[in-house]
Amino acid sequence: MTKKKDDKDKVSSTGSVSNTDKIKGTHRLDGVSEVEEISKISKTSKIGKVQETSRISSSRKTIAVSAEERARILKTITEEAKKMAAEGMLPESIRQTAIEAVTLAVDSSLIVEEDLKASRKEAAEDSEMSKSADSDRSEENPKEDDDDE
Amino acid sequence: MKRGLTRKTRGDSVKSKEKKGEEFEHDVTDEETEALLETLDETPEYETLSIEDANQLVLDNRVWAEGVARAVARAWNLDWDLDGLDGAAMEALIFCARRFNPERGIPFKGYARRRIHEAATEAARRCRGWKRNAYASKKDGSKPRGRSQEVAIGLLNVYPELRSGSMFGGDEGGEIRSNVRQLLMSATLIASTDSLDEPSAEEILDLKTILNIITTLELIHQLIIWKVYWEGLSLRGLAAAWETDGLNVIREHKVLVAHLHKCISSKNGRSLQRPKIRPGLRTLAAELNKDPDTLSPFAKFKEKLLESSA
Repeated sequence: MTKKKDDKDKVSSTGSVSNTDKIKGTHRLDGVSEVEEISKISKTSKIGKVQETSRISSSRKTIAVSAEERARILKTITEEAKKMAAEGMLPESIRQTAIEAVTLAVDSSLIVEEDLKASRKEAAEDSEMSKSADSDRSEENPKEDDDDE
Repeated sequence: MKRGLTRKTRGDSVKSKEKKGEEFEHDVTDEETEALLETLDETPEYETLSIEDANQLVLDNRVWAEGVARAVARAWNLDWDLDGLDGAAMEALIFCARRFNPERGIPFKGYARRRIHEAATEAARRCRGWKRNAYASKKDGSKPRGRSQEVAIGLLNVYPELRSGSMFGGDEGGEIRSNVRQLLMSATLIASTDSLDEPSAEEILDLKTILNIITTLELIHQLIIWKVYWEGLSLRGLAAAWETDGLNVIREHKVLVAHLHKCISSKNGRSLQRPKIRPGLRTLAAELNKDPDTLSPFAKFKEKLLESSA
């Protein structure tokens, strides 16, 4: 009796897999050079002194400037304008207008300490005047106050 | 003498912006409106100070606000009290105090100074003293300073950091000098555009030199200069119109002014390499270059200027 062709291809059940032998290790790895000696790591130096900063950045100081500072800034405008005019950068026809305009714009943006002092003084005078006016009123019309009470 | 030059005045630009705003409102569809209302419902309420705290803030900063008004009055040669600058400054202070939200982490003075300065400057422009200073001749016989007053207002619009006091608040000489140079360059540009109603031959020649340099710039750079100096738009306003970060436009403008400065000081300005477009504006620049409707405003302007001077 001949076996059918299809029966040949059928895989019969396999037996148990026996333990594999130990892997004895690789013979050699090509191309990997030996690790050379690591040179000494030198000591790190101490962190030096932390120095004081001379000033906080100017752009953050937005409250008020002194009269001297204002004068210095306005002088800088004239100086720079002269330089630019000498370099031919400020056309003659509009030079004066440009200088005046920059001076106006910059000056209007500078709060001067003296102005603040004057405002403080006026505010103090106003409050004193209003206090004295209140006391005068209460002295003149004591009855009205009593009535209110 | 009518030259036929079409330059918008600063007032016109504001009107046109308002018009644009109206058109925008009409263009919004119902769906968009609903979506907007939904987002508004979700947005937490804007928390401000109580009235008592706001009033206390006003009292605490009254002297300082008066200092801002005094500075404006001193610069424009006005009386801070009689010309109504004190009232304007006080109104602005109260407005800012009532809108101030301390949770945002912005100091009150930093938040309010620009607005108080704007209010005081507006009051100055409306008062009689302003007109008197603008048209009256000076004692030394020099020209009235009406033109410089308007150029100064233009400068304050281009550089809002001037109003907030952060441009000249310190002692660093180098920084102050470079800022002054930048302002002088910008003032030259504003003064050049302001003189276009009746320009003299000399003014046309001066302007031609500047225009020759500007026309060599990238299209987006030309547009920045055009929109700011010819149409009177602020840098932040321009950034909002282009839907980009304000700092992109502000920094690019600074580079452009420095470039113009260098070009004019060197005799052969054209040979200098034009500034590159910063990464934040490159996409927009590419879009503008592709758009066939966006033409160089200065090329047309130069032609008209030359025709009118011929």
